[in-house]
Amino acid sequence: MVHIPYWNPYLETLSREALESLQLKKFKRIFKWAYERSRFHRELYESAGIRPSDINTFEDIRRVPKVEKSMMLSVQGKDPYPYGDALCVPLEQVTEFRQTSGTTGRPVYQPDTWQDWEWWSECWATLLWAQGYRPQDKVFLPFGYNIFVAFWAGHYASEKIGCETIPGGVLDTKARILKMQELRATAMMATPTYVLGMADVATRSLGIDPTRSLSIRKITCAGEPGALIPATKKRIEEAWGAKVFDHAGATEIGAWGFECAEQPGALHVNESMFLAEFEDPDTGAPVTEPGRYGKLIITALDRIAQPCIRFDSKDIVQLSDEKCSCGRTYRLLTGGVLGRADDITKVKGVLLSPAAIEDVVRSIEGLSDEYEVLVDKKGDVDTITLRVELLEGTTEPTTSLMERLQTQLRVKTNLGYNVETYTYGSLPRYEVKARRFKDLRKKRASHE
Amino acid sequence: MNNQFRREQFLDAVLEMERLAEKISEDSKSFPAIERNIKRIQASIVMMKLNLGG
Repeated sequence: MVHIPYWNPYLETLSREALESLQLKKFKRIFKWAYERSRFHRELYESAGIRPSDINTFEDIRRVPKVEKSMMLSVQGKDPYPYGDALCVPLEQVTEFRQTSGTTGRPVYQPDTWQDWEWWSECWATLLWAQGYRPQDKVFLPFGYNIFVAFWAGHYASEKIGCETIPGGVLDTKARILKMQELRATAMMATPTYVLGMADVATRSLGIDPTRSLSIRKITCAGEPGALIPATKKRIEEAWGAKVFDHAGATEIGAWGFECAEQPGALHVNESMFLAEFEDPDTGAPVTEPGRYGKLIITALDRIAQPCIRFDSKDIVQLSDEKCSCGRTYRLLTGGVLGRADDITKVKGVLLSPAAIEDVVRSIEGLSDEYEVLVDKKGDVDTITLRVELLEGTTEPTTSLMERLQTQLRVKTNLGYNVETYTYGSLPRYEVKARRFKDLRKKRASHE
Repeated sequence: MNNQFRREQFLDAVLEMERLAEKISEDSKSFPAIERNIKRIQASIVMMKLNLGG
């Protein structure tokens, strides 16, 4: 096949003016679709005094009420069962069911039509092609094929591109590694946590060095931040001898962001399929200036069964106006998703990002990939406990390691930590989404 | 329902789709999002032909 850098050379290189015109056209279409077909959406918009004919500019879009996960939950469990009034197609047109992982509470049900499912795989094909996936690749998917959307659409996109697509579903980690070796898989998709865990199992339990004995040269990470945290990316790339790319998405939204093969240290927003808006997490005021942090409010412009219109993703991102050397005109977000608005919390009056802690921990040789952060309160004083694991065979004395760790933590996060050290293998291991950050203050507050 | 009549109608339509798909496939080598999607449509067209006894 001719070397084509873009899955869609038309959409991915549109001028900013043409892109915004397309977004506005699509927003008007999906807004009208939802307004006319769903009581949930119509009542929401009528309460704000907005009808489809009122949407003509981006300024008008900002007046459209946002949707939060809790609102979706409140309509579910009713007719048309189980989706309730947010459903915009007859039930018989729903061909796919998935649900959110429920890590932040009760899961949200997600219906999709056949058209939506094609759209999902098109979003994924865009990102996989941008990361260098081509028909000659053998793509291994080591995830549990079940009710969570996870890498399902990645599977279908890989097929659509023409890759040989290998479902590594109900296999344990060792069996997955051996199958990847046997088939000489060239690419895979998993959470950063699991990718690191697999490398560990390969080396320690199977005596396989992934850089020499496996053929994986591209890894697409999703499900949690990590692939754009420099120290984590470096660890994964060194462990696998592969290029690691980040991707951002969510069940209710779709696959909205991706890192391209140029690895610009940022995510592209797929702006032909999504409208991304940003707001100050505290005030809700629009954020447009490059360099500023904002909470992502996002619209899936073509998803029809259960539309996602101005959804409050809770993802914190940093805006950029830099152009990527890949030539795509899609906007970049520096460092990808930096954390959840719920997790980026103030400790001792300072904003604490779990991603910043991870970057420090994984930059220290002699510490394992695992860690835990516990934020608590003693009296009126916030405390942060960081639990880390020491790798076996490290020659550097523990006191010296801890000194380096504390110094880096203070430099990168402006906070002091109580560091607890554990032997290798003591901290919990995760296969899908890790829960390494625990704010015990919230738990206490809810009990008071 | 006259199945034989409908079969001929369907077959004509499917063959027309096949011709159009072939042309799009040839013209879209530098546009993966079209070229790879038309390949899937071509696979569906083959199934429709088989379903019509082709």
